[in-house]
Amino acid sequence: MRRLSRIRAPLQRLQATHSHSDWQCPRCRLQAQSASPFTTSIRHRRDTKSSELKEKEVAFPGDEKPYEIEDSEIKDVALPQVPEMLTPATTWDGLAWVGTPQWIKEKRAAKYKIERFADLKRKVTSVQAIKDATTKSFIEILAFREQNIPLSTIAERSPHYQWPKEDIRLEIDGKTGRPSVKYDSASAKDALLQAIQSDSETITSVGERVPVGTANSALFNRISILDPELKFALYKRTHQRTGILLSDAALSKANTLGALLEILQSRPPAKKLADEARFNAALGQLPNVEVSKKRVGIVKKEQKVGRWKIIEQELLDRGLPVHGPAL
Amino acid sequence: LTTLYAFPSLEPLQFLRYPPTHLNVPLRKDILHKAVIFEGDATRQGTASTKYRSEVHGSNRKIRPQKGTGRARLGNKKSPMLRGGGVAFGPHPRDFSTGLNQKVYDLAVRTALSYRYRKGELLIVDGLDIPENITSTDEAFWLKACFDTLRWGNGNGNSLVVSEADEEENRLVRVLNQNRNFGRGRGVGTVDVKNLLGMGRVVIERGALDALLGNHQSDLR
Repeated sequence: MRRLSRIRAPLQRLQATHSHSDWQCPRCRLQAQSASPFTTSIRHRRDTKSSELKEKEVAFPGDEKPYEIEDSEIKDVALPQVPEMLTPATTWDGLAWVGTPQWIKEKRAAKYKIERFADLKRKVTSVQAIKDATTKSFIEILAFREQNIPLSTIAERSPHYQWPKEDIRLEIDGKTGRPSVKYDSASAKDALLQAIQSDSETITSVGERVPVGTANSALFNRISILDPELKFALYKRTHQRTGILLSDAALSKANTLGALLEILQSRPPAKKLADEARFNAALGQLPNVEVSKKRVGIVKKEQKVGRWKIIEQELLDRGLPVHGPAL
Repeated sequence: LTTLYAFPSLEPLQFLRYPPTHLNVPLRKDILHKAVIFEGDATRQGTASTKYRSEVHGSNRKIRPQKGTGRARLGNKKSPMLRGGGVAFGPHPRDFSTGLNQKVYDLAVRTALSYRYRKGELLIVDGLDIPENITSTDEAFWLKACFDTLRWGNGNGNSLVVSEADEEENRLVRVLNQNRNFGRGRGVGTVDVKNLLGMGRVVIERGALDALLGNHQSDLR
């Protein structure tokens, strides 16, 4: 750090101005008389080199004289062109802050972004959307099996494509319980396979209800997913679509499509009792139950009874602090 | 049935099957308690020390006559009743470790893993490491960003990360232990029941889980 010369210089000047006064000791008087502005700053240091030494000074070994910039080397530096839509700012109001801890954090976060398998920005939460996503995934699996395409490749394409507009239904045989995909036209089957296997991605709105035609929900719920390959493909594709991650214990218990749907649609248990009351209507409507966001203090209790205004007025009349001790 | 996930994308890779004797053991709180106490006892340093009256520095001279002073009778000044005297029954360095049957401890390890599995707090991944392109100056930040994205860190109960290699050999575990703000890392050789039961979740490598279960199944043979 550069040593400061500010403090010494005024002191030296002071000594110099009062050098004739009797209250100064002889030594200080002598110093003040010969005082010169004292500073250790490099730029103010007196040049003590002799002219002979300067002549002998060379910038680089082999050069006879120090390097000097010639006039031809000095060029006018072109200033950066400001785009027309931008105007130079005169104040800092409205300008973005750079160099703050938040800015550094955001820069680093953008640099080292963690890619998730499922796009959590498109996470599905509504019950119907989860059912649609599960049904679509199941239809895709059945279509793949019909075409003998390995199920391990089902998650290679993004699930967020435009579902074919043709009518594609999931039908379950009433006697055997075997599910199958029914297409109204030949083009529907091709459209579905092309949509699953193509590279293009058309963004669909999250939660958009697409009629997939699940007739007879009781039979639908009883479709078996005991086959490990089918179960894994279904879980992977549904997770890719909805962003919901299931626990292994719950997944191992889900042996039918209905059980899997129930687990996917179930809300996670609320961590706080106050949050539980919002979802559980019976608990919230009980006459002797009151849910409060914050802890109920003495003031709240007295306000509820109607005594607080009297207490507050009495405290004010006596000059006592109403809320807590006075500073 | 468990799912093997990729790290850090959490892409399901495949199903894994483990026998119910390994990951579906019934909950036995008493066995877990015994194991945690056993581990705690073994961890104790046992270096607390005080001086008996025989060890306190001082002479054995009787400080006042037996009779005639009107006060209580006293021997030397090292008596525990006196200030500056010894401690009568104070602590001395000793070994606090206790014993626990090997089979009981093995059952406790598997019980802890099963408990976590049933609660959905056991996550099996294929490998745990920081990508090679992350420099040493950014590795702590990358780890925090990763844990925040996956919701494994602060605010989500923190996570115990168990790797197949030792704590010093695995870069992610080493960095996690240096920071300790959003989790703790352990090697498969050093993880214990108390670690498995603490924190919000257990993230374990597949090889580490196989090794852990393989090393703690003496009661099944």
